[in-house]
Amino acid sequence: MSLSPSATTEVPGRDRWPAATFFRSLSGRLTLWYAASAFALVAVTLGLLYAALTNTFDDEIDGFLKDTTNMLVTLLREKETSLESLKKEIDSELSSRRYARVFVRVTDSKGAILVEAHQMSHDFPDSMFMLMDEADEARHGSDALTKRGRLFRLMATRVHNPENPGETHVIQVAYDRKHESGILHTYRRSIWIGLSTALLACAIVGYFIAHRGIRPVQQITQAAGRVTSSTLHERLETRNLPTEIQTLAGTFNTMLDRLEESFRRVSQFSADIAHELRTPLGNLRGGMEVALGKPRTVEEYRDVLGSALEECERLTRLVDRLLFIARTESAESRIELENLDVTHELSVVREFYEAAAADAQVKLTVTSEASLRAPLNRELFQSAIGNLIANALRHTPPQGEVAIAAARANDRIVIIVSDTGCGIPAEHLPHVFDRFYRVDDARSAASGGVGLGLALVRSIAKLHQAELQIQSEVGKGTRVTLAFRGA
Amino acid sequence: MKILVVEDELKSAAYLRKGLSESSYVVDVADNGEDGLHLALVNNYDLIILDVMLPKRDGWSVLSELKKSSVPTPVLLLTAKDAVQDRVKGLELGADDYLVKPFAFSELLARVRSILRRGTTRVEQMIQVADLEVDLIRHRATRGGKRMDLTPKEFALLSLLVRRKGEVLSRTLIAEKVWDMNFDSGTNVVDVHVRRLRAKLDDPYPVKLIQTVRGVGYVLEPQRDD
Repeated sequence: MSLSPSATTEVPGRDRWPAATFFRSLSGRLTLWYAASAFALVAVTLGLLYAALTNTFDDEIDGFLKDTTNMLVTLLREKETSLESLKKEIDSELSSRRYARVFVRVTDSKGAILVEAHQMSHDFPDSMFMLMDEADEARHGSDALTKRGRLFRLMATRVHNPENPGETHVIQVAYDRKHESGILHTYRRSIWIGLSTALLACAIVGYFIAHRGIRPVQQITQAAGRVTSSTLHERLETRNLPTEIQTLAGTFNTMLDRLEESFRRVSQFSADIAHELRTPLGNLRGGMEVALGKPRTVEEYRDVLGSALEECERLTRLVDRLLFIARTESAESRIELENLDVTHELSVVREFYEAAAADAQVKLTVTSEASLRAPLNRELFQSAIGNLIANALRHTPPQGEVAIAAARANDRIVIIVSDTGCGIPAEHLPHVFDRFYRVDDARSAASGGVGLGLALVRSIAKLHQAELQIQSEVGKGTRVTLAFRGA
Repeated sequence: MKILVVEDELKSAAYLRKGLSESSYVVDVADNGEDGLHLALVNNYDLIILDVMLPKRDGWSVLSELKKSSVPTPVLLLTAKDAVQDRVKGLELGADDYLVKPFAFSELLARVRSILRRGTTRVEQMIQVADLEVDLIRHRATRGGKRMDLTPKEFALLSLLVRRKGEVLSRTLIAEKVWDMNFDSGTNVVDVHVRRLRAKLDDPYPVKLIQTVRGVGYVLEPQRDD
């Protein structure tokens, strides 16, 4: 029952792997989950923003590429013949643009270069372009790296001359993405910094939240660790606990209640037993010591030995009964049952106690339905009824009555032993079947009981799976009901 | 009558030897199972009193060896265990009776006598003790020629006492034989019955027949010569 030697449970490998222990703990897991989910949320948000930004850039550049293409188409159609003027026009157009790094090439349907700005053939062979039709309004560019490792967005458009249907041109435009790449690069760096900060922050905040959340559990753990046999009366404070933990703490407190009660009963029982053993042992020892103190007559020795025998008998009976009761309380005890004639057994027991009843001037009666039968252990049944009668006789004054009634009720054989005795105060009733429980110490001791008779009856009832009840009214009498399973 | 006591506890063996010798039995004692079995096989005993918990060879084993060797000697088992299963086991192995420690010596003596009497029971009709005459068949008892008016249970008690005259009977035994009460009533119920019988049997006469043996029980005899 001692909880002291290891109040905290050692987790194997705790010293070598603190991290492993941490993540096996509830607060560790909570921290991990909290940090992971918060971090994931931040990461997804930033990722989406980044993707949106990239898309915006792509759309913007595609728009620019289309604009440039359209401008070239217009130029082509206006100044149809002069390639020189077209080239000049292109150069002036492009140089006036904010973004200088734009390459343009116009080829005819056979791939011969008509106009080219900034010698782009060296960097951008035809094969890099994905050819699209002018009619495709949703056409978009494609990204490509040059041999020198620079990122461009390319767009190639086939253009038909409405006035001369056979003639087609291909306009290829390349846009240097250096500027956008720079912006995206900066943005990505910010994202990484933001993410690492978020990870750290989530872990720390998560740890504190988890830690705070499970503090009541730790409190309960500590309280449980403090429980020893001498502090069984302490209880957990449940008022300020969260609901879930409150239930746990409540259950824990109820367990403590039961433990305390069992513990109290065990120690009370040990005290009772010691007391009951001490009395006959004291008598034995004292009697013999005195007898041996000086030479005595045979008659005196015989008297002392007789007295010693009586004490031995008392001890034997005490031990026998305790053993019997203990055995029925511990394991699943089995008894041999026989189909017993209850009516007959009751009259047999009554005959045995008749003289004692007459001596006490108490009327002892048995009223029983004929031929009641039940599966009973004969010796134990006699013992139960005998103890109940003896107990009733002991507490019934002269001219009183002890009545035994037996009847069948549904599938049960109900036996009621009632007396017109002094009765038992209500506060004692729940305990009268406990071992050594005495309503009145002085009287019981004087009338020879050791407080085991009724406990014995309860054990016998339990062995037969019978129901046992007691009702009593002070000054009027007591009524014990035994309901056995019928045959 | 020769009795073998197989018991390893010295004090128990000593008082069994003493008590049985004083009841005019010849007693041999063995303090372990091997010796006990050996003695039982080579000697011819009328009864073996066998403890179950023994060194070298336990009582169950001794008992089954005896039965295997067809030794007809009746066996009385002694044990500290009183679980029903043990009792059943003992009787199944062929023990004639069974006594749970601690027991009253008078109880043991009664069982010993009862086992030794088996097979030699002759139905007596009339038993006479001093001037008391009990007719077991007609259920009639007279003292000094005067018929006593006894209830059936009083007569049953008296006939038990006269049939076992000179033998101290414990209250438990009396309750069992007369009222068929097999439990330890632990009360003075038997004393009340005996007192009522005495009122009819002894009170009117100067010579008392029922004697109380303190701490043991009752015996019927003219007087204890001690």
